Amino acid sequence: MPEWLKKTLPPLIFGLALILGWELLTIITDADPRIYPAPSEVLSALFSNLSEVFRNAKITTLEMVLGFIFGATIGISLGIILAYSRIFRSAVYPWLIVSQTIPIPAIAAVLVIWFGFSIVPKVLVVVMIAFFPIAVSTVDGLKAVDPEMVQLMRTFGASKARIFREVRIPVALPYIFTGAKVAAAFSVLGAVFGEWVGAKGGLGYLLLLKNRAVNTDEVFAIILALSILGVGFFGLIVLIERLTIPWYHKARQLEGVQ
Amino acid sequence: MEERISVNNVSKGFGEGEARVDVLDGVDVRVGRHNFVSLLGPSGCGKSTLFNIISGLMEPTEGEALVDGSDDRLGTCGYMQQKDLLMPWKKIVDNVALGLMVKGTPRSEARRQADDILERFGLGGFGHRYASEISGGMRQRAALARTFLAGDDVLLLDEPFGALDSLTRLQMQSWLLDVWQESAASILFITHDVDEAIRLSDRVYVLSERPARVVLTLEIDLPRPRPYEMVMTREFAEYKAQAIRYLHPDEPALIDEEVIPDA
Repeated sequence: MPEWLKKTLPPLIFGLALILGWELLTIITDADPRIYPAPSEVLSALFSNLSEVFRNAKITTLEMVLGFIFGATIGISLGIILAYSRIFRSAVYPWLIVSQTIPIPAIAAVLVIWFGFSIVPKVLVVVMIAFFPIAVSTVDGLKAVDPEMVQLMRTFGASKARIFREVRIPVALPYIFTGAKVAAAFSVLGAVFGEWVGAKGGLGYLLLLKNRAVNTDEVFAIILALSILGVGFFGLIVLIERLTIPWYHKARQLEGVQ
Repeated sequence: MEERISVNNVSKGFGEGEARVDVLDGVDVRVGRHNFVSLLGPSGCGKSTLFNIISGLMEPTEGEALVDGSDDRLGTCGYMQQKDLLMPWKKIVDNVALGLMVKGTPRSEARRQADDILERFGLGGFGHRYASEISGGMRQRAALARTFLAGDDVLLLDEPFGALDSLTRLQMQSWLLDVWQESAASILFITHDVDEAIRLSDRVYVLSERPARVVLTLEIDLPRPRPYEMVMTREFAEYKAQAIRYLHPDEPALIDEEVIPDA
């Protein structure tokens, strides 16, 4: 059996078993399909509403991607400053952690007052969720460098900027990507929260609409679409990671980590 | 200037007051053009600190360290630490070319020289691999190749074979001697292996326990090339006896006293 099949077969079989079990359960219990839709009904709801779902998914995707890009930019910059400035770190780091204890929907509601029903509040919510894991992992990554490797560069006569570019950044990249993967997975959440407090489009908005109408099969269809979006975005980051730091995966494969 | 490295009366201490630890105590070391010189001493005696000073990473508390007569040392020596320090994100050829590139050689020229030295070091065809994809002995040779290219012919080698098994180690010694003979390099070599120091060197400085002083300077007057079997000759044994006598002053002496000259 080829290697990729060995990896993909178990989760595939497990997933199919779950879906099949769910389908059987709805048949055995004779559940009300409007409240407890079977997977087959969810799928048919998805396909019969495909254009609507697709139109709203584009909105949510834009919010996610914009929020992630801004969040990652802020997170990496903040991480670099935090790693290099002791004063900045001691003044700002505790507040950064406090900021993560604030319930995001509460902030989202205020953002709607400030920025209305535009795309801005949604993007900002995603930014708030995405920047933190990236900032923390950037700090960790920049500190993970082997001091002897820095010494080696110094014996070549390398400048600090050169050492940063050729040693610190490559050491930090695997850490930064770990943070980025967490951020990518959570940015769907951010976009949906942002839409719930006030929107005219997007999958989160559509979800609320269908929920109020008690179209449970369509609600599940949107949940399915959202999770496809999340997994897809996560997968995209993994792909970028593999292309950016191929040496890291080669080394890990040789050590038998993966 | 005949001396490529000259260390004059160098002392180094870390910390202040009560917590002060003296590591080097008035050390004098000289390495001439195309010389192979070893520092032989117990582990943790301060040999690596001396290398940090010669390479310019640290300044001595007292005394002076000069490379080619200059006090401005950063960027002048090829310094190989005990770990190979190959960067896992660079291919071997780029690791080896790194020193040259930092010093301003254009990438294509640095790569050409790196390919060249890899070929000479028996690593031809491995340049495009990552460090994780080659063996320990090969990594060590690649690190040495990088040091040769970066070093402008002044090389500081800190126990480069310390982590290798003894058979590989002997092969690497022979190999290093060959490579050195064909180069213009002046080498200062740290080891705590008596045989290794005598076999490789023109001169061996025996250092004391911390704080390190030079307790014996041995001019090794053995012919080159030096095959490994030379360790069984009488002349080799006499050098070894002297070194051991100064390395382990508390051990009872077995060898005739007259072998050992006045310190």
